[in-house]
Amino acid sequence: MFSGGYRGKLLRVDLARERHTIEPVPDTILEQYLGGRGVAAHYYHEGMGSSVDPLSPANKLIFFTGPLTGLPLPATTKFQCATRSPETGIYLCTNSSGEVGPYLKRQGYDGLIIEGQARRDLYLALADGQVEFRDASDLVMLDTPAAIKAVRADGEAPDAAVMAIGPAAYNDVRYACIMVGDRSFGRGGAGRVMAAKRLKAVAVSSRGEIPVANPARIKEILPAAAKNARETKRAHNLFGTNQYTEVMNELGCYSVRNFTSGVFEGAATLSKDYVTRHYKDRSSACFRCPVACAQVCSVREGPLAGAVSDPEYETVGTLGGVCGVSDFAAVIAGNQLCDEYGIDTMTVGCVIGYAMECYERGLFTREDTGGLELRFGDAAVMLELIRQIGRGVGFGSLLGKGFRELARTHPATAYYMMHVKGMAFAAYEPRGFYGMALAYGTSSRGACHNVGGWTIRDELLTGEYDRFALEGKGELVKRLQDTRGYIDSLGICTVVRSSMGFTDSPTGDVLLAATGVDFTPRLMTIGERVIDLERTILVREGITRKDDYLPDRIFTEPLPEGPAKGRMLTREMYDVMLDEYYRLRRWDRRGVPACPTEGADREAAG
Amino acid sequence: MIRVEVRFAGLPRTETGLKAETLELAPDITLERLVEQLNRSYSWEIGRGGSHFVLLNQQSLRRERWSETRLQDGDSVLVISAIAGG
Ligand code: SF4
Repeated sequence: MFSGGYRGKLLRVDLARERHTIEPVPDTILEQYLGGRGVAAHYYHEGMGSSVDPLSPANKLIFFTGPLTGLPLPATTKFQCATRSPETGIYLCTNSSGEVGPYLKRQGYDGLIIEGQARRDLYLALADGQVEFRDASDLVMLDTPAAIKAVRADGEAPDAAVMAIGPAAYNDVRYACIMVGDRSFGRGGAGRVMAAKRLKAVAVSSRGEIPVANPARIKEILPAAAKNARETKRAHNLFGTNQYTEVMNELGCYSVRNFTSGVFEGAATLSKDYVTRHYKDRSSACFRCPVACAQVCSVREGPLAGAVSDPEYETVGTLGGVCGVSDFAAVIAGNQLCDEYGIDTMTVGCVIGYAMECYERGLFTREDTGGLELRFGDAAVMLELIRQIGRGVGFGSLLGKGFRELARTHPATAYYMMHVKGMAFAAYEPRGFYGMALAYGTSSRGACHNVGGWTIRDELLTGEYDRFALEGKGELVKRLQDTRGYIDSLGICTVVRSSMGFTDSPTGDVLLAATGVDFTPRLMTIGERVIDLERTILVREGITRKDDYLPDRIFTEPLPEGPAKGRMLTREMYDVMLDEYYRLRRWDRRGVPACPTEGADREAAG
Repeated sequence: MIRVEVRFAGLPRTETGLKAETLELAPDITLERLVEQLNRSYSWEIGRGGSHFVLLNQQSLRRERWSETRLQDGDSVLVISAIAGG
């Protein structure tokens, strides 16, 4: 049925036996779920029981590209991973940029499913139809840049794309990430799952071609789409997502000192103009991206001189705002440490912010912390805790377990854990945007601004919504989640999506030109179907309405200062939004969908 | 005359080099007229499909309401650049 875009095959790897099989990916599955996040969720739903221990051999790492991944169009860099998260204990969907997804497609596969547990430490090498299981015993404790370099050298493949895990994954950090070159599957601990499987890295050769249905049309679309993306995302190129820091602070919705305030007096030295003047070296781009939003920054003087990394808004808001740290040099250094150890920057910032608040309130003492004084704003302590977490030593070995486990072992501190379903907040204060509160609550993977639906633009700029109103937020969050559900299944970056017509009213013929099938009119239905399927998985794993609420702080403490002063949500207010959301999704009052393919049935009916 | 604080964040802050300025304006001025004035001063295209937006007292207003919205003494107008993607 498809004449391009897809390869129609997946590679299934059995680590215990060091064997692989190649299977067809049925057209019917691609038609229903498009690719990427949707198809990965399908294989998760089909292949994983409800009680799989995330760290057991029964867990799987299910990587899927989308129909656009790797094609000669803007930012076709994305691929998805579904697995059971050791941070949250439930289904995880996570995406990454980088070259591994595009190269996997060039190698002839839409997906890669990794099963079992290896009997030795190894890495996988995919090249020219070959699948090799190579010894990684000397690589295990290398940090991620060193591991990626060593894997390339070992395979004599300097141009191979490599994804690898760092020491944090082996030191039981439940939110250890997978670094994909200098990008990552950041959230939810997919890196920890890889370590449990004794899989250090996956290397994929760059060779191969991806067929498209209508190459001439793709060639026509590319320049206009790239020009549009460059022009409309000029601020992203100049400043990256960190352009939002001063905006969120101006609105009183920034993530400050473990969400005790929405205004940070130290925001000026974290903001884009200061950072550009003092730290920025260059903008850098993911695979085929005309925008280049990553801001590579370095510390040029002082005790942290030499540190280099590219902190995004969320990292600045968590290592900076949540920890009360206004020293951008420390944010650069903290981001670099996280990349090297292989740690999710967002969760680690929130966990450290929580620990700082608990220490200041006397819930942790110097005895607990091994003598460290944890105070908001102490950059040296923030960096020391990242090191301890990455190495799995001292107080850091406790913090590396994440909120779900900490709530079990330290229930008296649970009030100060800013998370939903075990996943830490992003860097937006939900009392400042009520839609964001619902997004955090209903996201398929825990408190996430992307999967949950990024309401900020609609709540702020369209004039359609009052950000402190409840009405309409269920509809807004559903629409944004459905949009994101199909975008994450395409294989492109969300920042450039509108340049190819991928909005909440999709237009254009990109998918027709790529695959030969005109998915465009059905994209929102596919997005909805993906969310329904994910909710079905979550319900199977024990998630119900009670898990869709935010921490009590959001429901009991008004914001103390700034433009959003006095704002809070009560549970009753939140229920108004949640009820509207469930009703529109046709989920029952417990948040249970009627059936996983309800979206498909609705489409067939009408 | 009324005094209105105009604050800038995002690209507008970079372009003006200002965090905020206080303007003295005619008492019957509308949001529409103030936006026209800002567009002239800074070569912006707010309200005409450009990449900058205004919020009045922290809230966005539908474009069609700008001409009927009279500014009050002490109002705060925030000019920000478009935000997209998390
Ligand atoms: S816009 Fe940014 S995150 Fe997206 S592909 Fe381009 S460089 Fe990567």
